[in-house]
Amino acid sequence: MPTFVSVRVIHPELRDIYLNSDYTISAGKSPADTFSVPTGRTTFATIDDDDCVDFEAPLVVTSQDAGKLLTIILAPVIPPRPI
Amino acid sequence: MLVPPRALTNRVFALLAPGITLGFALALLAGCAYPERNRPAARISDRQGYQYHLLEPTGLEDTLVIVTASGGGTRASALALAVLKGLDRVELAGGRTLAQEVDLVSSVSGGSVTAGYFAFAGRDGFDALERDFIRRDGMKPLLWGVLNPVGLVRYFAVPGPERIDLLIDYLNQQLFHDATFQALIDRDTRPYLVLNAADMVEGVPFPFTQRKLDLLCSDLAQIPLAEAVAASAAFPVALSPVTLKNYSPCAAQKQPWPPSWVTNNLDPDGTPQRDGIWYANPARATLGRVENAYALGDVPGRDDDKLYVHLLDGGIADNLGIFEPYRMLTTQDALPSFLTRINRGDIKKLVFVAVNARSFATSELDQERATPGMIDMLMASINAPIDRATAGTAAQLRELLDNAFRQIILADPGKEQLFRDLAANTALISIDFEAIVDSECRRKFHAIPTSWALSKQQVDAVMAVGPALLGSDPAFADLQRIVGGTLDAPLPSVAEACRLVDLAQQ
Repeated sequence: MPTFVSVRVIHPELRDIYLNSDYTISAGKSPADTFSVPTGRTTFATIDDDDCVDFEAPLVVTSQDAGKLLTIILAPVIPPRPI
Repeated sequence: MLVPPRALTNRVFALLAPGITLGFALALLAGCAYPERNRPAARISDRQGYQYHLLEPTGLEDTLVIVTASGGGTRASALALAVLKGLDRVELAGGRTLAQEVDLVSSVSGGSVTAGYFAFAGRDGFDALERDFIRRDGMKPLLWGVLNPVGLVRYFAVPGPERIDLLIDYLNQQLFHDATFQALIDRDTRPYLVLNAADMVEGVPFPFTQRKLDLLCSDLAQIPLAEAVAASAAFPVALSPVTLKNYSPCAAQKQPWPPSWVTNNLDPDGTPQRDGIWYANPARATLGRVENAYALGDVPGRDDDKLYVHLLDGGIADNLGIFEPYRMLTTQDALPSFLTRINRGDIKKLVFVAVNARSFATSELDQERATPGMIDMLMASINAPIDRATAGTAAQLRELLDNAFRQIILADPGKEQLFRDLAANTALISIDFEAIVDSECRRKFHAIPTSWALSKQQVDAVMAVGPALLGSDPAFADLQRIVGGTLDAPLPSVAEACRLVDLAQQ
Protein backbone atom coordinates (compact mmCIF):
# COMPACT_ATOMS: atom_id res chain seq x y z
CA MET A 1 0.00 0.00 0.00
CA PRO A 2 1.64 3.28 -1.05
CA THR A 3 2.08 5.99 1.54
CA PHE A 4 2.41 9.72 1.08
CA VAL A 5 4.52 12.58 2.33
CA SER A 6 4.25 16.32 1.92
CA VAL A 7 7.14 18.28 0.46
CA ARG A 8 7.96 21.97 0.56
CA VAL A 9 10.51 23.44 -1.90
CA ILE A 10 12.46 26.12 -0.09
CA HIS A 11 14.85 27.09 -2.91
CA PRO A 12 14.52 28.68 -5.43
CA GLU A 13 11.78 30.88 -4.01
CA LEU A 14 8.66 32.19 -5.71
CA ARG A 15 8.85 29.79 -8.63
CA ASP A 16 6.35 27.43 -10.22
CA ILE A 17 7.19 23.84 -9.34
CA TYR A 18 6.78 20.95 -11.80
CA LEU A 19 6.77 17.31 -10.77
CA ASN A 20 8.06 14.25 -12.60
CA SER A 21 8.63 16.01 -15.93
CA ASP A 22 4.98 17.04 -16.22
CA TYR A 23 5.51 20.55 -17.54
CA THR A 24 1.92 20.91 -18.66
CA ILE A 25 0.75 22.19 -15.30
CA SER A 26 2.50 23.76 -12.33
CA ALA A 27 1.95 21.78 -9.15
CA GLY A 28 2.20 24.97 -7.07
CA LYS A 29 4.63 27.65 -5.96
CA SER A 30 7.73 27.62 -3.79
CA PRO A 31 8.00 27.98 -0.86
CA ALA A 32 4.36 28.63 0.00
CA ASP A 33 2.78 25.44 -1.30
CA THR A 34 3.26 21.86 -0.19
CA PHE A 35 3.18 18.93 -2.57
CA SER A 36 1.74 15.51 -1.71
CA VAL A 37 3.82 12.75 -3.29
CA PRO A 38 3.71 8.97 -2.92
CA THR A 39 6.57 6.83 -1.68
CA GLY A 40 9.26 6.30 -4.26
CA ARG A 41 11.23 8.95 -6.10
CA THR A 42 9.80 12.25 -7.37
CA THR A 43 11.63 14.90 -9.38
CA PHE A 44 10.97 18.55 -8.57
CA ALA A 45 11.88 21.18 -11.16
CA THR A 46 11.43 24.79 -12.23
CA ILE A 47 11.46 26.09 -15.79
CA ASP A 48 12.67 29.49 -16.99
CA ASP A 49 11.13 31.88 -19.53
CA ASP A 50 12.76 29.95 -22.37
CA ASP A 51 11.02 26.71 -21.37
CA CYS A 52 14.25 25.25 -20.03
CA VAL A 53 14.65 23.35 -16.76
CA ASP A 54 16.86 25.62 -14.63
CA PHE A 55 16.52 24.02 -11.18
CA GLU A 56 15.91 20.39 -10.39
CA ALA A 57 16.29 17.73 -7.69
CA PRO A 58 15.00 14.24 -7.07
CA LEU A 59 13.61 13.28 -3.68
CA VAL A 60 13.50 9.70 -2.51
CA VAL A 61 10.70 8.96 -0.08
CA THR A 62 10.75 5.68 1.80
CA SER A 63 7.99 4.10 3.84
CA GLN A 64 9.71 5.37 7.00
CA ASP A 65 8.98 8.93 5.87
CA ALA A 66 5.23 8.33 5.67
CA GLY A 67 3.16 11.11 7.15
CA LYS A 68 6.10 13.57 7.33
CA LEU A 69 6.51 17.05 5.93
CA LEU A 70 9.89 17.20 4.15
CA THR A 71 11.78 20.11 2.66
CA ILE A 72 13.95 20.14 -0.45
CA ILE A 73 16.40 22.52 -2.11
CA LEU A 74 16.63 22.33 -5.90
CA ALA A 75 20.04 22.42 -7.59
CA PRO A 76 20.75 24.65 -10.59
CA VAL A 77 20.86 22.90 -13.97
CA ILE A 78 23.82 24.26 -15.93
CA PRO A 79 23.21 24.94 -18.70
CA PRO A 80 19.41 24.96 -18.45
CA ARG A 81 17.92 22.02 -20.36
CA PRO A 82 15.06 22.37 -22.86
CA ILE A 83 11.90 20.61 -21.74
CA MET B 1 -33.06 -31.62 -41.52
CA LEU B 2 -30.68 -32.39 -38.69
CA VAL B 3 -27.21 -33.18 -39.93
CA PRO B 4 -25.23 -35.78 -37.97
CA PRO B 5 -22.08 -34.24 -36.51
CA ARG B 6 -19.68 -36.48 -38.45
CA ALA B 7 -21.45 -35.76 -41.72
CA LEU B 8 -21.37 -32.06 -40.88
CA THR B 9 -17.66 -32.28 -40.16
CA ASN B 10 -17.07 -33.97 -43.50
CA ARG B 11 -19.06 -31.33 -45.35
CA VAL B 12 -17.22 -28.49 -43.61
CA PHE B 13 -13.89 -30.14 -44.37
CA ALA B 14 -14.85 -30.64 -48.01
CA LEU B 15 -15.74 -26.95 -48.16
CA LEU B 16 -12.56 -25.80 -46.51
CA ALA B 17 -10.07 -28.24 -48.01
CA PRO B 18 -9.20 -26.19 -51.09
CA GLY B 19 -8.62 -23.13 -48.94
CA ILE B 20 -6.50 -25.04 -46.48
CA THR B 21 -4.38 -26.51 -49.25
CA LEU B 22 -3.96 -23.16 -50.96
CA GLY B 23 -3.25 -21.51 -47.64
CA PHE B 24 -0.46 -23.87 -46.72
CA ALA B 25 1.00 -23.58 -50.19
CA LEU B 26 1.07 -19.79 -49.94
CA ALA B 27 2.47 -19.96 -46.44
CA LEU B 28 5.39 -22.02 -47.68
CA LEU B 29 6.03 -19.63 -50.54
CA ALA B 30 5.78 -16.44 -48.57
CA GLY B 31 8.22 -14.97 -46.10
CA CYS B 32 7.39 -13.63 -42.64
CA ALA B 33 6.01 -10.15 -43.08
CA TYR B 34 3.78 -8.78 -40.35
CA PRO B 35 1.48 -5.80 -40.37
CA GLU B 36 2.92 -2.52 -39.16
CA ARG B 37 0.55 -1.39 -36.43
CA ASN B 38 2.25 1.80 -35.28
CA ARG B 39 4.39 4.49 -36.85
CA PRO B 40 7.44 6.30 -35.46
CA ALA B 41 7.00 9.73 -33.90
CA ALA B 42 8.59 12.69 -35.66
CA ARG B 43 8.46 14.76 -32.46
CA ILE B 44 7.88 14.01 -28.81
CA SER B 45 6.28 16.71 -26.73
CA ASP B 46 3.59 16.91 -24.08
CA ARG B 47 2.35 19.99 -25.93
CA GLN B 48 1.05 18.15 -28.95
CA GLY B 49 -0.86 15.02 -29.84
CA TYR B 50 -3.69 13.34 -27.97
CA GLN B 51 -3.33 14.80 -24.47
CA TYR B 52 -5.88 15.39 -21.74
CA HIS B 53 -4.81 18.97 -21.08
CA LEU B 54 -5.07 19.93 -24.75
CA LEU B 55 -8.73 18.94 -25.04
CA GLU B 56 -11.44 21.51 -24.43
CA PRO B 57 -12.54 21.22 -20.76
CA THR B 58 -16.08 20.29 -19.88
CA GLY B 59 -18.46 22.72 -18.19
CA LEU B 60 -18.05 21.39 -14.63
CA GLU B 61 -14.60 22.85 -14.11
CA ASP B 62 -14.03 21.83 -10.49
CA THR B 63 -15.61 18.38 -10.89
CA LEU B 64 -13.73 15.39 -12.22
CA VAL B 65 -16.05 12.81 -13.79
CA ILE B 66 -14.50 9.41 -14.53
CA VAL B 67 -16.26 6.41 -16.08
CA THR B 68 -14.57 3.02 -16.33
CA ALA B 69 -15.93 0.14 -18.39
CA SER B 70 -14.98 -3.50 -17.83
CA GLY B 71 -14.57 -6.41 -20.18
CA GLY B 72 -17.21 -9.02 -20.96
CA GLY B 73 -17.92 -9.01 -24.73
CA THR B 74 -21.15 -7.46 -25.95
CA ARG B 75 -22.61 -7.75 -22.44
CA ALA B 76 -19.95 -5.27 -21.30
CA SER B 77 -20.40 -2.99 -24.33
CA ALA B 78 -24.14 -2.88 -23.69
CA LEU B 79 -23.86 -2.29 -19.95
CA ALA B 80 -21.39 0.56 -20.46
CA LEU B 81 -23.69 2.15 -23.06
CA ALA B 82 -26.70 1.69 -20.79
CA VAL B 83 -24.91 3.51 -17.95
CA LEU B 84 -23.78 6.33 -20.24
CA LYS B 85 -27.37 6.68 -21.40
CA GLY B 86 -28.37 6.83 -17.73
CA LEU B 87 -25.84 9.62 -17.13
CA ASP B 88 -27.30 11.35 -20.16
CA ARG B 89 -30.61 11.48 -18.32
CA VAL B 90 -29.06 13.58 -15.54
CA GLU B 91 -29.74 17.13 -16.62
CA LEU B 92 -27.49 19.95 -15.47
CA ALA B 93 -27.82 23.68 -15.37
CA GLY B 94 -27.32 25.18 -18.81
CA GLY B 95 -29.06 22.37 -20.65
CA ARG B 96 -26.15 19.94 -20.70
CA THR B 97 -26.23 16.40 -19.36
CA LEU B 98 -23.81 14.51 -17.13
CA ALA B 99 -22.80 12.30 -20.08
CA GLN B 100 -21.45 15.43 -21.75
CA GLU B 101 -19.39 16.22 -18.65
CA VAL B 102 -17.42 12.99 -18.53
CA ASP B 103 -13.74 13.95 -18.36
CA LEU B 104 -12.14 10.53 -18.64
CA VAL B 105 -13.33 7.17 -19.88
CA SER B 106 -11.04 4.20 -19.26
CA SER B 107 -11.91 0.75 -20.49
CA VAL B 108 -11.05 -2.83 -21.18
CA SER B 109 -12.11 -5.32 -23.83
CA GLY B 110 -15.87 -5.25 -24.55
CA GLY B 111 -16.16 -2.00 -22.60
CA SER B 112 -13.59 -0.47 -24.94
CA VAL B 113 -15.96 -0.68 -27.91
CA THR B 114 -18.39 1.62 -26.11
CA ALA B 115 -15.69 3.82 -24.56
CA GLY B 116 -13.93 4.24 -27.89
CA TYR B 117 -17.10 5.08 -29.77
CA PHE B 118 -18.26 7.44 -27.02
CA ALA B 119 -14.99 9.39 -27.26
CA PHE B 120 -15.27 9.32 -31.07
CA ALA B 121 -18.92 10.30 -31.51
CA GLY B 122 -20.16 11.51 -28.12
CA ARG B 123 -23.74 11.09 -27.01
CA ASP B 124 -24.85 11.56 -30.63
CA GLY B 125 -23.36 8.14 -31.32
CA PHE B 126 -25.42 6.22 -28.77
CA ASP B 127 -28.03 5.03 -31.28
CA ALA B 128 -25.49 4.03 -33.93
CA LEU B 129 -23.46 2.08 -31.38
CA GLU B 130 -26.51 0.17 -30.23
CA ARG B 131 -27.83 -0.46 -33.75
CA ASP B 132 -24.59 -1.21 -35.58
CA PHE B 133 -22.69 -3.13 -32.94
CA ILE B 134 -24.50 -4.11 -29.77
CA ARG B 135 -27.65 -5.43 -31.46
CA ARG B 136 -25.77 -7.15 -34.27
CA ASP B 137 -24.43 -10.66 -34.28
CA GLY B 138 -20.72 -10.03 -34.26
CA MET B 139 -19.81 -13.70 -34.12
CA LYS B 140 -21.05 -14.54 -37.62
CA PRO B 141 -18.80 -12.10 -39.47
CA LEU B 142 -15.89 -12.98 -37.19
CA LEU B 143 -16.30 -16.72 -37.72
CA TRP B 144 -17.28 -16.58 -41.37
CA GLY B 145 -14.42 -14.17 -41.99
CA VAL B 146 -12.03 -16.97 -41.24
CA LEU B 147 -14.00 -20.16 -41.92
CA ASN B 148 -14.14 -19.80 -45.65
CA PRO B 149 -11.46 -20.54 -48.22
CA VAL B 150 -10.59 -16.89 -48.78
CA GLY B 151 -10.53 -16.20 -45.04
CA LEU B 152 -8.29 -19.18 -44.37
CA VAL B 153 -5.81 -17.93 -46.92
CA ARG B 154 -6.05 -14.35 -45.70
CA TYR B 155 -5.77 -14.88 -41.97
CA PHE B 156 -3.74 -18.04 -41.60
CA ALA B 157 -1.51 -18.26 -44.60
CA VAL B 158 -0.74 -15.01 -46.35
CA PRO B 159 1.69 -13.02 -44.23
CA GLY B 160 0.14 -9.70 -43.33
CA PRO B 161 -3.30 -9.96 -41.80
CA GLU B 162 -3.52 -11.76 -38.47
CA ARG B 163 -6.52 -13.20 -36.63
CA ILE B 164 -6.92 -9.92 -34.73
CA ASP B 165 -7.55 -8.25 -38.10
CA LEU B 166 -10.95 -9.97 -38.16
CA LEU B 167 -11.99 -7.90 -35.19
CA ILE B 168 -10.23 -4.75 -36.42
CA ASP B 169 -11.95 -5.04 -39.80
CA TYR B 170 -15.33 -5.64 -38.16
CA LEU B 171 -14.96 -2.66 -35.81
CA ASN B 172 -13.92 -0.45 -38.71
CA GLN B 173 -16.79 -1.63 -40.86
CA GLN B 174 -19.41 -1.15 -38.16
CA LEU B 175 -18.17 1.83 -36.16
CA PHE B 176 -14.84 3.52 -36.67
CA HIS B 177 -14.42 3.62 -40.48
CA ASP B 178 -10.61 3.72 -40.27
CA ALA B 179 -10.56 6.73 -37.92
CA THR B 180 -7.38 7.14 -35.89
CA PHE B 181 -6.72 8.91 -32.59
CA GLN B 182 -6.23 12.00 -34.76
CA ALA B 183 -10.03 12.10 -35.03
CA LEU B 184 -10.19 12.57 -31.24
CA ILE B 185 -7.64 15.38 -31.43
CA ASP B 186 -9.71 17.03 -34.15
CA ARG B 187 -12.90 16.57 -32.12
CA ASP B 188 -11.18 18.53 -29.35
CA THR B 189 -13.51 17.66 -26.53
CA ARG B 190 -13.54 15.37 -23.55
CA PRO B 191 -13.91 12.59 -22.55
CA TYR B 192 -10.25 11.76 -22.75
CA LEU B 193 -10.07 8.13 -23.85
CA VAL B 194 -7.82 5.52 -22.25
CA LEU B 195 -8.11 2.11 -23.91
CA ASN B 196 -6.33 -0.52 -21.85
CA ALA B 197 -4.67 -3.62 -23.26
CA ALA B 198 -2.15 -5.80 -21.43
CA ASP B 199 1.49 -6.50 -22.24
CA MET B 200 1.24 -10.29 -22.55
CA VAL B 201 4.90 -10.81 -21.64
CA GLU B 202 5.02 -8.53 -18.62
CA GLY B 203 1.42 -9.03 -17.47
CA VAL B 204 0.95 -5.31 -16.80
CA PRO B 205 -1.65 -2.92 -18.18
CA PHE B 206 -0.78 -1.08 -21.38
CA PRO B 207 -2.96 2.02 -21.73
CA PHE B 208 -2.99 3.63 -25.19
CA THR B 209 -1.81 7.07 -24.09
CA GLN B 210 0.70 9.29 -25.84
CA ARG B 211 2.91 9.25 -22.73
CA LYS B 212 3.12 5.45 -22.99
CA LEU B 213 3.66 5.60 -26.76
CA ASP B 214 6.44 8.17 -26.23
CA LEU B 215 8.43 5.38 -24.62
CA LEU B 216 8.16 3.43 -27.88
CA CYS B 217 8.92 6.61 -29.85
CA SER B 218 5.60 6.19 -31.59
CA ASP B 219 2.76 8.48 -32.54
CA LEU B 220 -0.61 7.66 -30.99
CA ALA B 221 -2.42 10.01 -33.37
CA GLN B 222 -1.71 7.66 -36.27
CA ILE B 223 -3.01 4.51 -34.57
CA PRO B 224 -6.48 3.44 -35.76
CA LEU B 225 -9.08 3.46 -33.00
CA ALA B 226 -10.30 0.04 -34.11
CA GLU B 227 -6.79 -1.34 -33.65
CA ALA B 228 -6.50 -0.04 -30.08
CA VAL B 229 -10.00 -1.28 -29.20
CA ALA B 230 -9.16 -4.67 -30.69
CA ALA B 231 -5.90 -4.83 -28.73
CA SER B 232 -7.88 -4.13 -25.58
CA ALA B 233 -10.27 -6.96 -26.51
CA ALA B 234 -7.82 -9.49 -27.98
CA PHE B 235 -9.03 -12.50 -26.04
CA PRO B 236 -6.08 -14.88 -25.67
CA VAL B 237 -5.82 -17.80 -28.13
CA ALA B 238 -9.04 -16.95 -30.01
CA LEU B 239 -7.47 -13.76 -31.30
CA SER B 240 -3.84 -12.98 -31.98
CA PRO B 241 -2.11 -10.14 -30.13
CA VAL B 242 -1.70 -6.66 -31.54
CA THR B 243 2.04 -6.17 -31.82
CA LEU B 244 3.54 -2.70 -31.58
CA LYS B 245 7.04 -2.00 -32.84
CA ASN B 246 9.36 -0.26 -30.40
CA TYR B 247 11.19 2.49 -32.32
CA SER B 248 13.16 3.53 -29.24
CA PRO B 249 15.77 4.90 -29.03
CA CYS B 250 15.11 7.64 -31.59
CA ALA B 251 16.20 11.16 -32.39
CA ALA B 252 12.87 12.64 -31.28
CA GLN B 253 13.47 11.66 -27.65
CA LYS B 254 14.91 14.39 -25.47
CA GLN B 255 17.61 14.11 -22.85
CA PRO B 256 17.61 12.84 -20.22
CA TRP B 257 16.28 9.60 -21.63
CA PRO B 258 14.54 7.58 -20.20
CA PRO B 259 12.56 10.45 -18.67
CA SER B 260 12.58 11.04 -14.94
CA TRP B 261 8.99 9.82 -14.49
CA VAL B 262 10.31 6.40 -15.55
CA THR B 263 13.73 6.31 -13.88
CA ASN B 264 12.24 7.68 -10.67
CA ASN B 265 10.65 4.29 -10.16
CA LEU B 266 13.90 2.33 -10.42
CA ASP B 267 16.17 1.50 -7.53
CA PRO B 268 19.85 2.12 -8.26
CA ASP B 269 21.95 -1.03 -7.86
CA GLY B 270 22.88 -1.65 -4.26
CA THR B 271 19.89 0.14 -2.75
CA PRO B 272 19.12 -1.56 0.58
CA GLN B 273 15.78 -3.31 0.33
CA ARG B 274 14.33 -1.28 3.19
CA ASP B 275 15.09 1.97 1.34
CA GLY B 276 13.99 0.66 -2.03
CA ILE B 277 11.06 1.80 -4.13
CA TRP B 278 10.00 -1.79 -4.62
CA TYR B 279 9.69 -2.19 -0.85
CA ALA B 280 7.79 1.08 -0.43
CA ASN B 281 5.62 1.03 -3.53
CA PRO B 282 5.70 -2.24 -5.49
CA ALA B 283 3.19 -1.07 -8.10
CA ARG B 284 5.39 1.89 -9.08
CA ALA B 285 8.53 -0.23 -9.08
CA THR B 286 7.02 -2.95 -11.28
CA LEU B 287 5.77 -0.48 -13.85
CA GLY B 288 9.04 1.43 -13.68
CA ARG B 289 11.03 -1.62 -14.68
CA VAL B 290 8.74 -2.37 -17.64
CA GLU B 291 8.53 1.25 -18.79
CA ASN B 292 12.31 1.57 -18.55
CA ALA B 293 12.65 -1.45 -20.83
CA TYR B 294 10.23 0.16 -23.33
CA ALA B 295 12.19 3.40 -23.21
CA LEU B 296 15.58 1.77 -23.72
CA GLY B 297 14.32 -0.32 -26.64
CA ASP B 298 17.19 -1.59 -28.70
CA VAL B 299 20.35 -1.42 -26.57
CA PRO B 300 23.55 -2.67 -28.25
CA GLY B 301 25.17 -5.50 -26.34
CA ARG B 302 22.06 -6.57 -24.44
CA ASP B 303 20.02 -9.66 -25.15
CA ASP B 304 16.85 -8.61 -23.31
CA ASP B 305 15.87 -5.78 -25.63
CA LYS B 306 12.21 -4.96 -25.92
CA LEU B 307 11.90 -4.53 -29.65
CA TYR B 308 8.19 -5.33 -29.79
CA VAL B 309 5.26 -5.12 -27.37
CA HIS B 310 2.64 -7.84 -27.79
CA LEU B 311 -0.75 -6.70 -26.55
CA LEU B 312 -3.67 -8.88 -25.49
CA ASP B 313 -7.01 -8.34 -23.77
CA GLY B 314 -6.54 -5.77 -21.02
CA GLY B 315 -8.57 -7.95 -18.70
CA ILE B 316 -5.49 -10.07 -18.08
CA ALA B 317 -4.03 -7.25 -16.02
CA ASP B 318 -7.03 -5.13 -14.97
CA ASN B 319 -10.51 -6.14 -16.08
CA LEU B 320 -12.18 -2.97 -14.82
CA GLY B 321 -9.96 -0.41 -16.50
CA ILE B 322 -9.37 1.37 -13.20
CA PHE B 323 -5.59 0.93 -12.96
CA GLU B 324 -4.67 4.01 -15.02
CA PRO B 325 -7.29 6.35 -13.49
CA TYR B 326 -6.12 5.24 -10.03
CA ARG B 327 -2.53 5.95 -11.08
CA MET B 328 -3.61 9.42 -12.22
CA LEU B 329 -5.36 10.02 -8.89
CA THR B 330 -2.54 8.89 -6.63
CA THR B 331 0.78 9.61 -8.41
CA GLN B 332 2.53 12.16 -10.58
CA ASP B 333 3.73 9.42 -12.96
CA ALA B 334 0.77 9.53 -15.33
CA LEU B 335 -0.30 12.34 -17.62
CA PRO B 336 -2.59 13.91 -16.53
CA SER B 337 -1.87 13.70 -12.82
CA PHE B 338 -5.17 14.30 -11.08
CA LEU B 339 -3.28 14.23 -7.76
CA THR B 340 -1.49 17.41 -8.83
CA ARG B 341 -4.80 19.01 -9.79
CA ILE B 342 -6.40 18.00 -6.48
CA ASN B 343 -3.40 19.41 -4.62
CA ARG B 344 -3.76 22.70 -6.50
CA GLY B 345 -7.41 22.85 -5.53
CA ASP B 346 -8.51 22.66 -9.18
CA ILE B 347 -10.51 19.47 -8.55
CA LYS B 348 -12.91 19.83 -5.65
CA LYS B 349 -15.45 17.16 -6.54
CA LEU B 350 -15.06 13.63 -7.86
CA VAL B 351 -17.60 11.37 -9.56
CA PHE B 352 -16.28 7.89 -10.34
CA VAL B 353 -18.59 5.43 -12.06
CA ALA B 354 -17.12 1.93 -12.37
CA VAL B 355 -19.10 -0.30 -14.72
CA ASN B 356 -18.43 -3.96 -14.05
CA ALA B 357 -20.08 -6.50 -16.37
CA ARG B 358 -18.39 -9.39 -14.59
CA SER B 359 -19.60 -12.83 -15.57
CA PHE B 360 -20.38 -15.49 -13.03
CA ALA B 361 -21.88 -18.15 -15.25
CA THR B 362 -22.30 -21.57 -13.70
CA SER B 363 -20.12 -24.22 -15.25
CA GLU B 364 -21.23 -27.67 -16.32
CA LEU B 365 -17.82 -28.88 -15.20
CA ASP B 366 -19.06 -28.78 -11.62
CA GLN B 367 -21.80 -31.27 -12.45
CA GLU B 368 -19.54 -33.86 -14.06
CA ARG B 369 -17.02 -36.30 -12.66
CA ALA B 370 -15.11 -36.33 -15.95
CA THR B 371 -11.66 -34.76 -15.89
CA PRO B 372 -11.84 -31.38 -17.68
CA GLY B 373 -10.28 -31.45 -21.14
CA MET B 374 -7.52 -29.23 -22.48
CA ILE B 375 -9.87 -26.59 -23.86
CA ASP B 376 -11.76 -26.42 -20.55
CA MET B 377 -8.51 -26.05 -18.65
CA LEU B 378 -7.23 -23.42 -21.06
CA MET B 379 -10.43 -21.36 -20.81
CA ALA B 380 -10.47 -21.67 -17.02
CA SER B 381 -6.87 -20.53 -16.78
CA ILE B 382 -7.73 -17.44 -18.82
CA ASN B 383 -11.13 -16.63 -17.37
CA ALA B 384 -10.47 -17.24 -13.68
CA PRO B 385 -7.88 -14.50 -13.20
CA ILE B 386 -9.89 -12.06 -15.31
CA ASP B 387 -13.06 -12.56 -13.25
CA ARG B 388 -11.27 -12.70 -9.94
CA ALA B 389 -9.44 -9.44 -10.73
CA THR B 390 -12.75 -7.58 -10.90
CA ALA B 391 -14.55 -8.91 -7.84
CA GLY B 392 -15.00 -6.24 -5.22
CA THR B 393 -12.74 -3.84 -7.06
CA ALA B 394 -14.99 -0.85 -6.50
CA ALA B 395 -14.79 -1.44 -2.76
CA GLN B 396 -11.03 -1.75 -3.07
CA LEU B 397 -10.91 1.48 -5.05
CA ARG B 398 -12.89 3.26 -2.35
CA GLU B 399 -10.57 1.91 0.31
CA LEU B 400 -7.46 2.84 -1.68
CA LEU B 401 -8.63 6.39 -2.27
CA ASP B 402 -9.76 6.79 1.33
CA ASN B 403 -6.42 5.51 2.52
CA ALA B 404 -4.41 7.66 0.11
CA PHE B 405 -6.30 10.83 0.98
CA ARG B 406 -6.13 10.10 4.72
CA GLN B 407 -2.36 9.73 4.51
CA ILE B 408 -2.00 12.97 2.60
CA ILE B 409 -3.89 14.71 5.41
CA LEU B 410 -1.65 13.00 7.93
CA ALA B 411 1.46 14.21 6.10
CA ASP B 412 0.21 17.75 5.74
CA PRO B 413 -2.47 18.93 8.16
CA GLY B 414 -2.70 22.09 6.05
CA LYS B 415 -4.38 19.99 3.35
CA GLU B 416 -6.97 18.58 5.73
CA GLN B 417 -9.82 20.85 4.70
CA LEU B 418 -9.06 20.37 1.00
CA PHE B 419 -9.24 16.58 1.22
CA ARG B 420 -12.13 16.50 3.69
CA ASP B 421 -14.13 18.66 1.27
CA LEU B 422 -13.15 16.36 -1.57
CA ALA B 423 -14.23 13.31 0.44
CA ALA B 424 -17.59 14.98 1.16
CA ASN B 425 -17.99 15.66 -2.54
CA THR B 426 -17.01 12.30 -3.92
CA ALA B 427 -19.52 9.85 -5.39
CA LEU B 428 -18.11 6.42 -6.17
CA ILE B 429 -20.72 4.37 -7.99
CA SER B 430 -20.26 0.72 -8.77
CA ILE B 431 -22.47 -0.75 -11.48
CA ASP B 432 -22.31 -4.49 -10.92
CA PHE B 433 -24.83 -7.33 -11.35
CA GLU B 434 -23.74 -8.26 -7.83
CA ALA B 435 -25.79 -5.29 -6.58
CA ILE B 436 -29.07 -6.91 -7.71
CA VAL B 437 -30.82 -7.94 -4.51
CA ASP B 438 -33.03 -10.65 -6.06
CA SER B 439 -30.74 -13.69 -6.23
CA GLU B 440 -32.60 -15.38 -9.10
CA CYS B 441 -32.53 -12.22 -11.17
CA ARG B 442 -28.85 -11.72 -10.31
CA ARG B 443 -28.08 -15.28 -11.39
CA LYS B 444 -29.80 -14.73 -14.75
CA PHE B 445 -27.78 -11.58 -15.46
CA HIS B 446 -24.59 -13.39 -14.47
CA ALA B 447 -25.53 -16.16 -16.88
CA ILE B 448 -25.60 -13.86 -19.92
CA PRO B 449 -22.61 -15.18 -21.87
CA THR B 450 -19.41 -13.42 -22.81
CA SER B 451 -19.80 -13.26 -26.56
CA TRP B 452 -19.96 -10.83 -29.46
CA ALA B 453 -23.57 -11.90 -30.07
CA LEU B 454 -26.45 -11.52 -27.63
CA SER B 455 -30.14 -12.07 -28.27
CA LYS B 456 -32.47 -9.08 -28.54
CA GLN B 457 -33.98 -9.97 -25.15
CA GLN B 458 -30.57 -10.19 -23.50
CA VAL B 459 -29.59 -6.79 -24.85
CA ASP B 460 -32.96 -5.34 -23.75
CA ALA B 461 -32.36 -6.65 -20.22
CA VAL B 462 -28.80 -5.29 -19.99
CA MET B 463 -29.87 -1.93 -21.43
CA ALA B 464 -32.51 -1.69 -18.69
CA VAL B 465 -30.40 -2.87 -15.78
CA GLY B 466 -27.61 -0.34 -16.42
CA PRO B 467 -29.61 2.80 -15.61
CA ALA B 468 -31.56 0.85 -12.97
CA LEU B 469 -28.38 -0.01 -11.06
CA LEU B 470 -27.15 3.56 -11.52
CA GLY B 471 -30.32 4.99 -10.01
CA SER B 472 -30.46 2.48 -7.17
CA ASP B 473 -26.83 2.93 -6.10
CA PRO B 474 -26.64 4.46 -2.61
CA ALA B 475 -24.23 7.10 -3.94
CA PHE B 476 -26.55 8.24 -6.78
CA ALA B 477 -28.17 10.89 -4.60
CA ASP B 478 -24.68 12.19 -3.76
CA LEU B 479 -23.88 12.26 -7.46
CA GLN B 480 -26.93 14.41 -8.19
CA ARG B 481 -26.11 16.75 -5.33
CA ILE B 482 -22.45 17.07 -6.36
CA VAL B 483 -23.16 17.94 -9.99
CA GLY B 484 -26.41 19.77 -9.29
CA GLY B 485 -28.28 17.43 -11.61
CA THR B 486 -31.88 16.30 -11.86
CA LEU B 487 -33.47 13.43 -13.72
CA ASP B 488 -35.70 14.24 -16.68
CA ALA B 489 -37.82 11.20 -15.73
CA PRO B 490 -37.37 8.30 -13.32
CA LEU B 491 -34.78 5.73 -14.36
CA PRO B 492 -35.98 2.14 -14.92
CA SER B 493 -36.28 0.04 -11.78
CA VAL B 494 -34.26 -3.10 -11.12
CA ALA B 495 -37.57 -4.99 -10.97
CA GLU B 496 -38.33 -3.95 -14.57
CA ALA B 497 -34.88 -5.13 -15.65
CA CYS B 498 -35.50 -8.44 -13.88
CA ARG B 499 -38.73 -8.93 -15.83
CA LEU B 500 -36.77 -8.39 -19.04
CA VAL B 501 -34.07 -10.87 -18.10
CA ASP B 502 -36.82 -13.40 -17.40
CA LEU B 503 -37.95 -12.98 -21.01
CA ALA B 504 -34.38 -13.46 -22.19
CA GLN B 505 -34.22 -16.80 -20.37
CA GLN B 506 -37.38 -18.14 -21.97
